[in-house]
Amino acid sequence: MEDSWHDTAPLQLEGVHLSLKGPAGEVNILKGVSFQAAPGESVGVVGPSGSGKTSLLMLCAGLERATRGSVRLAGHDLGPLSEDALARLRRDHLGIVFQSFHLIATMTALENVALPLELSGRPDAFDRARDALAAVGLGPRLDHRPGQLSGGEQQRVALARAFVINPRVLLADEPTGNLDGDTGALIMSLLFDLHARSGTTLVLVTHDMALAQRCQRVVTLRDGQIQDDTRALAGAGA
Amino acid sequence: MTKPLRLPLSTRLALRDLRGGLGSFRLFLACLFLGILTLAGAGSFDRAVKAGLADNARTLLGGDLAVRLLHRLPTDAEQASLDALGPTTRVAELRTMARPEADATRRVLVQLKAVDPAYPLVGTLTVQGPLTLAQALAAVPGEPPGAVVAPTLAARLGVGVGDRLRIGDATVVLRAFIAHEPDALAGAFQMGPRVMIAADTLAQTGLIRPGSLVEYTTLIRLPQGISPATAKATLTRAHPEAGWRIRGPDEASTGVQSFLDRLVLFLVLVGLATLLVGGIGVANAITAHLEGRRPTLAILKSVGASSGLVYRVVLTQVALMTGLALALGLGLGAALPALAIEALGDALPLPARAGVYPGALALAAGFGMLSALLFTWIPLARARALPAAFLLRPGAEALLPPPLPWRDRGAVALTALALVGLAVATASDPRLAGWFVAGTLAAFALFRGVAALLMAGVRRLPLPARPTALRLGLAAVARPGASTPTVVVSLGLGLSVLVTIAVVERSLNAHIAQGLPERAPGFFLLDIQPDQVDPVRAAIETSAPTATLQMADMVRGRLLAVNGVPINEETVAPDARWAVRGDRGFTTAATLPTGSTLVRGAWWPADYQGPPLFSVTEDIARGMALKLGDTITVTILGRALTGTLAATRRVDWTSLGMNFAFVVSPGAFAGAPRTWIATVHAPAAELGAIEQAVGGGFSNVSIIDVREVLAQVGAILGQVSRAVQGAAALTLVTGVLVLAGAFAATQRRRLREAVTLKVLGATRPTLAAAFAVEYGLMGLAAGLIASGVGVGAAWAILRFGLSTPLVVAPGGIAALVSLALVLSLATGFAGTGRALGIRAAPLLRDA
Repeated sequence: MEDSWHDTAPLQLEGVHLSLKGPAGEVNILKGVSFQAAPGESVGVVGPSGSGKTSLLMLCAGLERATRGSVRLAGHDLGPLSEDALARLRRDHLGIVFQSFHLIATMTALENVALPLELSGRPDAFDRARDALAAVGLGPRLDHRPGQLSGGEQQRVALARAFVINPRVLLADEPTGNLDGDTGALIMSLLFDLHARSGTTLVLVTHDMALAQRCQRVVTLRDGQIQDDTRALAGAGA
Repeated sequence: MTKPLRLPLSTRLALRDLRGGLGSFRLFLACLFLGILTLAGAGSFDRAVKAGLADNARTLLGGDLAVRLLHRLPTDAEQASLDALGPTTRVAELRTMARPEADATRRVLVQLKAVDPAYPLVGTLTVQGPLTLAQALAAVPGEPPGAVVAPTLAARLGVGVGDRLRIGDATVVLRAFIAHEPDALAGAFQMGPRVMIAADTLAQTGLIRPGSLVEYTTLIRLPQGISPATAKATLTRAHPEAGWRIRGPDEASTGVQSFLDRLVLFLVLVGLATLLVGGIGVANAITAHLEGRRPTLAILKSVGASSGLVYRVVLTQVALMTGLALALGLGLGAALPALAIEALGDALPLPARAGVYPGALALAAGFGMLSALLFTWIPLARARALPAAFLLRPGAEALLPPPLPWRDRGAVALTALALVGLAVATASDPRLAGWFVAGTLAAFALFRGVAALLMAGVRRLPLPARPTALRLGLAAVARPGASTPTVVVSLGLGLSVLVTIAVVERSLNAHIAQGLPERAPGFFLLDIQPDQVDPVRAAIETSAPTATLQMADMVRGRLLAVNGVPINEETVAPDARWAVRGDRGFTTAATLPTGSTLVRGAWWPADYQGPPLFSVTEDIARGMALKLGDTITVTILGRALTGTLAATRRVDWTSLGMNFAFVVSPGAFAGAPRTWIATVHAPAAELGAIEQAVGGGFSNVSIIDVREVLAQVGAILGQVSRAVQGAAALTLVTGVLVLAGAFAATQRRRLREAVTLKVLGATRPTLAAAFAVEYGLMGLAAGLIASGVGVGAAWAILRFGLSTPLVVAPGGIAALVSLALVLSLATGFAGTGRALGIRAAPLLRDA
């Protein structure tokens, strides 16, 4: 890999280990994972249950700290950063889409989407949130709460929330895992469409190889290590 | 559509989150509300009555200044000084017997008050019917003088308006019943109903004899510009040896106020116990709230919210809920005095001014806020310290949470200290409040310890394989995350307060109703004149040959100085101040009185005739820092008498025998007008004959029926106990709420477990029996330990505060343990009973 590309990669992991302590002792989850994602690149991460996919995502988001090795997000080494500095980094540069949507039940769709902008102190938070919801086809559902929306609609709100800040990196953890096939396909189309339009770097964790292969690269994890890292045959969103 | 961004972000997020309903905050609100309500209610009631007493202070005193002399009227010089201050009226008060003229067998001890036409100087005495006081008391040609009496006397003597009464040697006509006596509270403790006559009539009764226990009070209305303090100083300066007691309006009702202080202190302490029990609920509620909001907090963190912001969001919610609990508790607490005044009207025994008392409310708010802070700090700090991964990762509960930062531990300790400090510093009796706080914290620790022991014990127990329900129930008590500690502590503390109050009341009642009369005399006889000593003895011996009569001479006087230095009440220990406040009885004795034990010094020889020697009780000697050989000066009938302290004694007051705090060597009062008092022990059957013999033959002798007095004391005790028990019931209600919250918090887990067990073949009766074992065991442990703690606390109060033996009714304790059992079972099944009826399929499909 070229140095220039290496320097500008919005997401870089170098020899990352992750161990968690529990009552039963220490569990080694990731064992020396190294991996970079280029600007605008889409990377699918696949692997069997327990291979460390979600943990990898957590590390990328700064929600988990590496036991060893380094994680760089948007040019920042996450290791020395405090919890609050990590939160600010996520606020400004990172979008996350979860399998179970993770919308705040007591807030309307508009409020959920405006949240990261509010956290940044943006005065136009609600105007931009409204635009983001319109972009995912939820313009008429602004004031609905998550409980009043279908699963597909909730995931669209989550997508709008992830993209509303124009993140440098978007992490998606099994975004269709809680949706039926048709709705899942619709959401994925929307995700790849938004990715293509925004030029963000996408890391998609999935157990669905077909879905992963819609990304430009597919990284396969097994037993906490990268087993395979290949360019997909199909282009992003194809 | 754009929301105005005016409120801070943390507040906006907090409010949005609360849209989903109050959830766990309901328990938070209820616990805090009940504690604050008790404190605000008790404090407001206290201030309302004190304000009422202050408003009516002049009326309650009967003037701007009350100058009281015992045994004697003011000398001419003293009267001149009194008259020089302003218009005066003179009131004479004494206890005596009254009977219908037509029935010599019915006698009642009454509180006789003789007034002159100027009475009352302030306020109005009203009588039932068309007459005024002056008209009722005025002499009517051809008729005996008039009297007005309290309505209770009519019932006890069977008399009505127009009937004639005998008081001493005089006959009076009952002209009207008293409707309102403005200065009734200012006088001595009333042992009988009021009878009021004109001053001229008093002379006809023949009750005023040398040494009679009559109090003459001159009431003065001061002109504008002269304060009671100035007038008091003038009188004291002019007549330093007068031995009078001078009171201004601020001392109009000191007895009532100290009683009120004590009652309110108990209510406040019970309120604090409620806050402590509620505090557990508050902590549980916040923990449950944070657990329920885990997804929200995780989402906030994942989209970039800092830990500080997340903390501020929850803190804002806690502050809002605390504010709501404060508003509700303080609002209702503030309204309580007004509601009581409205509901009770004239039945309220004390004057009270309806109003809002910011001081009382601020104190209750202070307690409420500090306890909210204390009990929410740890859960909030834990939430703040928790990394985002703990919030997001499923099953993260099993991971080890980071330890609580030291600054948070320090802050919790400081908050606890502030709470204890506030409780002790603002109590009317800081020592008692300190003991209470220490005892409550010890009980808290004890209950936690017992819960831990119970869990550890059950874990070590070889669980029986069958019956299954027993094994399941026992296992549930000991499993990690079980409700056992919460249930045992919350139910246990609430019950402990209730047990303590019940046992104290029962012990006092038993002491009064059963224990005392066995040793107590049947009658106290007062005001026996020197020439009546032998005839009274003879009359009693004749009417009741088996009766035991004990007699002692007595003069009333006041302590003036020790070693020539005037006594300053402030330098006397609080528990000995009663001895220097007002008049005390002095007796002479040749030998150590029965019921007394010598502590220091030596008793004087039986035939001692030298300069006066004193013996005082050891507690007074200690309270006044008296040493053997110190000189003591007392004033008796305006004359000073100085003697030396020769001995101190310990006295068993509970014998109700002939006990005096002050005993003087024989001959010390030679020449002073003395009266004798007597105690009469006799079988109940002979008491009637004694009463007839003494009452019929010696109309000036007052007969105090000890049984009646004890009944009066019992009635007052009952009223106080009901007030404190009412507050204690709130502690228990709070405990039950906490209990309910603890059980409800486990409902989700129980539903899942119940479904799993049902899938595996468990029947509903098996599940119900397992729940019953679990809840029953917790309730039983809480009830048993609460009984022990309650009895222990009651013993301490009775032993060190009331010098009364402990009486425990096993039946009552069994009832309270049963109550614990029932409460635990009922609350448990109410909170988790749904698990029994749940259908397995829907839950399995959801999972």
